[in-house]
Amino acid sequence: METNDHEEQPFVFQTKEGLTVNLIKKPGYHQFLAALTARFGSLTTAMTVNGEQQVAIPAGTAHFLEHKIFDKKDGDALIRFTELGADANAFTGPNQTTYYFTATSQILENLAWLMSFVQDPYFTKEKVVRERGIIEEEIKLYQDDPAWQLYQGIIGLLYPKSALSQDIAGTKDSLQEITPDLLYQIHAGFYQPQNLVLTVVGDFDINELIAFIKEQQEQISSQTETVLVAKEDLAKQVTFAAQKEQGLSLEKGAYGLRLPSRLEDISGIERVKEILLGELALDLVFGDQTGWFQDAYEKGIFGDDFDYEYSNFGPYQYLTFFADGENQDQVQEYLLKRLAEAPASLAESQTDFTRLQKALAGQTLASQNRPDRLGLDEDLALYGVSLFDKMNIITRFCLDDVVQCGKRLFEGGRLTRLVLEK
Amino acid sequence: MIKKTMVAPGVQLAYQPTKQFKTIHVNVTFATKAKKAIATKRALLSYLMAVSSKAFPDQRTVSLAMIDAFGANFQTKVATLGDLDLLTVSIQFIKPGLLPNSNQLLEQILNFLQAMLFDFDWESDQAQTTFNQERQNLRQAILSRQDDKVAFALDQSRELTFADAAVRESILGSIEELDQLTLQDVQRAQQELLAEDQVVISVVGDLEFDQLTRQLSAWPWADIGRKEKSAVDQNYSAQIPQLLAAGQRKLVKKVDWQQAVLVQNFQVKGLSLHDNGPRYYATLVLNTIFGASPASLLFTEVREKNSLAYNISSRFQPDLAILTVVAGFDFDQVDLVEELIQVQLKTLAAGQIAAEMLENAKQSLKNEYLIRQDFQTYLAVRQADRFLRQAKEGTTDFLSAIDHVSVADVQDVAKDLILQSRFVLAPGEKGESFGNK
Repeated sequence: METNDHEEQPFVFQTKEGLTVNLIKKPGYHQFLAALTARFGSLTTAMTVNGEQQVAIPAGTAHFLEHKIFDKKDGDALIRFTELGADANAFTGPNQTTYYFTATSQILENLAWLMSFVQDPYFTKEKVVRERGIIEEEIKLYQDDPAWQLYQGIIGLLYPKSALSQDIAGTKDSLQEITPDLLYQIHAGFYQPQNLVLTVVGDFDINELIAFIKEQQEQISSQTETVLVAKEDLAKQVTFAAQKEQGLSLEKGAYGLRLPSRLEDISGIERVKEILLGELALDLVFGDQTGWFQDAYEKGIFGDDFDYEYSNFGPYQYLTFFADGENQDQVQEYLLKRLAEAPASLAESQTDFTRLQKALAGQTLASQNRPDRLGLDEDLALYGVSLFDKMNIITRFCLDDVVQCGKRLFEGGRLTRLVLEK
Repeated sequence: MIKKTMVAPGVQLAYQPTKQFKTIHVNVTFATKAKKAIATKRALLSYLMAVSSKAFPDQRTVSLAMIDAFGANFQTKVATLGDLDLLTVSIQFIKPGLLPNSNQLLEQILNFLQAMLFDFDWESDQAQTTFNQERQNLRQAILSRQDDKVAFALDQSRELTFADAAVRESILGSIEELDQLTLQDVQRAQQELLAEDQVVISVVGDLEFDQLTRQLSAWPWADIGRKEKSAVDQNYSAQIPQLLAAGQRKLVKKVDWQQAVLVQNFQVKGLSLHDNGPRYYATLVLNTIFGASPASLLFTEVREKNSLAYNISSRFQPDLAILTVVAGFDFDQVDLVEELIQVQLKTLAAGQIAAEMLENAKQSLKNEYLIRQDFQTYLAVRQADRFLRQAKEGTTDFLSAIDHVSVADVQDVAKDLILQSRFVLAPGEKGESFGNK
């Protein structure tokens, strides 16, 4: 079977209840992936429903709800997927909670089950209490992971006391504040169809699937609630360096640069453009193809573990860098120097920009091989921007776009450092 | 239909034509019997081969070459298959012609691969610098592995399980051996790899087979002293490694860690790497019922009913004939967790398996099998795996073999499971670090 790019563009529609649906056809694929995303994640700390009194949302609630959604009166929803020959799972992020399955048979039955189990809550006190024990073990699991410690630690320095600095799974204390009533309230507010996005990837008859999804959604009872989410006021950063004795075999360093928060709201596509430009700018300045990195690599300052990332969601905008090794002072010195010269370096990088643009187009095309990359793409669920859209966006960028982006990323801010020691 | 041909002595090409993917995947797998101390050498060699050759002398030029190849993904890695030590060089790139000016991409990629495989510049001034950098990178990777508690526990349990010291080694080798290595040691390891190893080149995608064969045959196989070797050399086929006496136990304590990790290795009897017989399929079903899915006994009994562990699962490693249980939990609960694991095994050995449970496990395995067919990397790895196991060709269809597994088959496997080794990594107090009990 020959693939056809046009055929694989997402087909988007909305049911009359307000559920947004993306259908991505993958001819010749065995598997069928469906993901239902609630636009509700760990960053939401308070809400007001239908103009009533504001309700505080304890740390770890979104993740707790993710666990409890599976726990039905008749048993675990995962077991039902197993009975239907599917493999199912879920994850919670800062702004989303996603439930998904992959299957090769009984597709419509699995899809119906995904849509109904997520939208039909069942919480009891007994089940909520039992879940705390499992999540406490999950929290401990991550606390033993140095990479998690490093990431969470640098975020804690950049954004003290913020929702982002809290463990997505919460704390032992915050878990005690989560009750069945709270879970019902949150489900009613954030899991109503207008706040859900369903993405389906596979080799299917598109018209048949549209009719099926509309029919299923009609059968699920839902009510419309007006939910207002409290905007988070971010505290000022006060600590710019820290170290922690961790008993590791190898020292690990994390560096962060907190960028000014955006005050105004922007559209989803503008947000994705910013993210893509930011990633391109970082690649041009810090990528392993640069002379700067080669020089540092030869001197043993950076190894092949060096990594960097641009993050942009809600009010949070920051850069992070990660490097293992004993020479963290040199790492910091090199990063500071490079950050200072970054705007000028970007302005002179026309040749590298053209080359990287071509490579990014190829990589985006390659990632379309993967149903999971297509179906679980956060930008599609949150902003309605698909991998196909992103490829088009990338090819239309020019160097000046990246230079302008660089002004926001590299001009100002104070580099923050966290070292996990041996 | 997979097309096969020998492109040089002991160098097998397996090409799976498919138009399903937008990319081409090429794996070049070198295989030899594991020998004491070669893991470290070959791990370091894999690092060198990833970043340097005469035409692409440093990581920067390699990175630029991949950028210019439309963002191709080039990697080297080491792994094991039974008693074999594998070094795999892989590259994935977009199908030539899909993007403007990409028609010559196959030739460009194969030239690049040839350079990275055959043309490390051992005599240049750059060689020692590259060696030092990559030795440092490998050193850090080994140390990081020690800080990953599950990887550390699995490495430790490997030492308690296998009789052959070479098979017991961690795949990245050891710091002690790494510190002793010289550039010349690694150069010799590369000469041996190119001249002696069994090689499988597996390609998945949409290409001209003749063009591929022509180009791969033109690589300098003869110049590196490659001797005549039959297509299926018994000396290079994977075997299930010999085990130590059953019942090995070890406990290690480490400060600063919150949670214990338990690794139990069970020996599975009656398996053959050359022929996936009924027992192989019965073990797959057993593993799914026992601990490899959210509907499994371990998940439902230990995690869901007793809230003892967030993480508990089993996995079947057919090349080692081992079924491994890994769990993370509060150390205080270790006796209870181990007791519950035993209870589940006894349930299976007694044949107390509901028909629905058996059916669900089969369905789940068939689903996984079909989903794997959508992963190009998996298809490429499977070619090398089948060749190196000298697996019998197409005698059994996976789906129907799974369908034929009965409760009695699963019960038989469960009855014969032997607890080979048990390793516990536990949180310790200050001063207790790495003490054994």
